[in-house]
Amino acid sequence: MKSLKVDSKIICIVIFIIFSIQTILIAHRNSFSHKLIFNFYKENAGLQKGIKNTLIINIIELIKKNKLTSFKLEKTLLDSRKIKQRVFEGAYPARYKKESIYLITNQNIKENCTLRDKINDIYLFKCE
Amino acid sequence: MIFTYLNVNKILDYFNVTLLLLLIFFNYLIYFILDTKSYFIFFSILILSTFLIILFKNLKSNFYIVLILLLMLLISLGSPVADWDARSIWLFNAKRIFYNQNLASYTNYLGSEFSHLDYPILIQTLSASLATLIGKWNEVFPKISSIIFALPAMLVISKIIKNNLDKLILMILIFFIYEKKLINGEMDALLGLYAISSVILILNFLKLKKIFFKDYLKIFLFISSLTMIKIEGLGIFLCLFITYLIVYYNYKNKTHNHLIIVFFISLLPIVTWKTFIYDQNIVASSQLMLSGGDRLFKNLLDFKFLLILIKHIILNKPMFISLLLFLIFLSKYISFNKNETDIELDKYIFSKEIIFIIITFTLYGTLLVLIFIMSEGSPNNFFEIKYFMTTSSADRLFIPVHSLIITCSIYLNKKTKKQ
Repeated sequence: MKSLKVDSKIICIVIFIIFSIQTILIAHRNSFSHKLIFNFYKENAGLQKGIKNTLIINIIELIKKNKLTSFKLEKTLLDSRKIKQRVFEGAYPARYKKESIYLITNQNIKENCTLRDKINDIYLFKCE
Repeated sequence: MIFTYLNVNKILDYFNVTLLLLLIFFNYLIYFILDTKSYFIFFSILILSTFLIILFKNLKSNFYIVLILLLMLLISLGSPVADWDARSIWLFNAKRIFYNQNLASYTNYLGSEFSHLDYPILIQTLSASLATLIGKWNEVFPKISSIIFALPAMLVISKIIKNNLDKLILMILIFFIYEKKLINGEMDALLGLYAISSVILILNFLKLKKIFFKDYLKIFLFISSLTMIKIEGLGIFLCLFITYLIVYYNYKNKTHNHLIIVFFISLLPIVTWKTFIYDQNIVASSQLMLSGGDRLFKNLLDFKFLLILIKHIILNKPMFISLLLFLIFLSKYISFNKNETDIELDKYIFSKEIIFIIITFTLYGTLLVLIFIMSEGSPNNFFEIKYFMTTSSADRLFIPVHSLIITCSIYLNKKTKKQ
């Protein structure tokens, strides 16, 4: 039986193409962005792209913008495992505290509290 | 002129994987005793420059490793952290170390228990130091600690890479099995790399005729790294130790006894870490997940659960690729006799190094299955999703098993080329 001879260069080219496509796929699955590379030294680079969820980004933004050291979340927000974890780690060093006077909620009216700031549908209240 | 006096090559010799790992361990240790930024900056500069010098040194001899790591570094610097464990556990813990600047206040606060503070922080302290170097926290630069930490393991693995086919197998492991797991902030791919490199170092150590202190130090650093990457590393450590006792250990052999001592000393970092955690009043999350007997028997009788478990362990791409490669290389040692009545197996299949790797990954795989059965349905699981642990982590936690199966394929290929 005659054996088929394949040029090793062709095999190398095929392997190179396969691995190049896979590398592009890895970069894509990891949400690669060339803009991030040049911002690697900037504060909070990658935070928004990593979290993606606008509601969570707004909560973190409110905490950072108002330079809060502690905050508490409305029960409906805290009950969501995703919102809770993403806010806790994204907002750090600001910490969640039950007794904090700063309440973050998605409701625009709160009794005994004054509105401090808002981003879209997320409100920051100061409750004395 | 000055280069002739200094002998650059001799200086470059000191920049090796042992030095890099030693520096990473020192960087980890200083967080227990110091809280001065300048020390963290000093160590991060030292580690980064050692990393770059080693890369440069291996540019010719291990070009493919340098290329893989630079490629991964580039993707890592351009990617955010999106995966759950990477964000909620590893990056969050590194962020807390960065902001606290020491480990004195490394304790849980209300609601933050999800970050599993009891998990080892060797790589997270490196991330924190890298962030201190740029002066601020972000979610991109600290993540390159994984690439820096991958370099020593990759260079050890390169020692068994003898031909282009071996290189191809290694590239398949990194690009098709690990995929993004080496750069997404998770620790599983690193654990896989350190499982391979520990196996290689032990096998090479046992072949050495003259053993120096640096050989013991290297094994110590790699095996203890295994336990310090994530808690599952302790399981691999245990499997390696048991397999070593079964396959190689001879109490009359001095070297074998020395290796036993190295094994025990290698437990020191993780034991001290666990003691520290206990002292900080942090409850180990594994205590909450595992069950003594009730869930074990309940889950063992749950046939649907067992089927789902088997599906998630075996019927996935990484296991398929690794087993396929393993069987292809294994088939070279299996033949029929002339009458095609009997199957003949080459003796090399039963060689100690092959048996050592096979027993190690079988033991570790069994241990993982047992842990899955014992922990499914734990309070740490999602209540709303049944079989959460299995469906979410089975393929990821099996990465060291895939890695060791691939290593076995490389060893099988190595022998055929020699013959």
